Amino acid sequence: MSKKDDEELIGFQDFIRGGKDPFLKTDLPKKRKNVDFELETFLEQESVRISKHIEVLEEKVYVIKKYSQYPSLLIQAESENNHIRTKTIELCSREDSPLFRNLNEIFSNFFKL
Amino acid sequence: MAIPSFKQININNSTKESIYEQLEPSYLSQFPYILDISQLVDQFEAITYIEQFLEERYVTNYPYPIYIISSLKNYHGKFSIFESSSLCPIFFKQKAKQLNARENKIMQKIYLKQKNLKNLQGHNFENDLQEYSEKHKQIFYLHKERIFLSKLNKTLEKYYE
Repeated sequence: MSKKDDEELIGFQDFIRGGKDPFLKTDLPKKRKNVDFELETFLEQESVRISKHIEVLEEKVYVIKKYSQYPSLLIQAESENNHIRTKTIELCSREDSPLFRNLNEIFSNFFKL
Repeated sequence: MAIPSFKQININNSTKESIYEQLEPSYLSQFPYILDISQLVDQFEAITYIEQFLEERYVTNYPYPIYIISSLKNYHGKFSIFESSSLCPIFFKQKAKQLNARENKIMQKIYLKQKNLKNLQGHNFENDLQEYSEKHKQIFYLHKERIFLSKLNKTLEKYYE
């Protein structure tokens, strides 16, 4: 190229040289960072899960061992059941009870009374 | 530090020696495990030896579960059986990948808690928990009986009305 041409191209030289110059660089899409929170959520949940295990072993087992509710619960459950059982027997032992009627039918058929 | 996701062991043979050899180097109870015995002919024998191995080493489902992949239908042991690994609970199905700073921080916490839990397990709380569960099962059965008898009484009372 002659000097004259060079003078004419002043201001456009950078443009002609093309992509080497920073001002022509296009903004390429940046590599997408891993913004997936699935693993983080899992790890947090796992941390909470283990904390709960620790809580059970550190506190609750001690309470269960020292202050068991079992004996009183058992006494209460058994006394309630005994009461209801007595009532059931009373209701079933009536002469017109369905139990007696059905038994009566069975025996009548069996012995052909 | 590895994330606590499933590790799978495919059991190759149902003999005792082979199972012990395969399970010995694994980190059972530090990670959730899937033991695959579905391809074996004698799966019942394999499961018996697996149970024996775990009992000898005091390995339980606690804090990390052990799932067994098998086609056995009538198993009533300690461990959960699934027909394929895809049917196992998805909570521990995590892809291994490099952790970022935040995840690393949580992982360190988990690691410390795991250590704490391991130390606590040395106190043998299992018997207490077992006893507690058995006692409460007994109360549950009594309660169930009470509900049944109450219903029966109500029906009989209606009948006599």
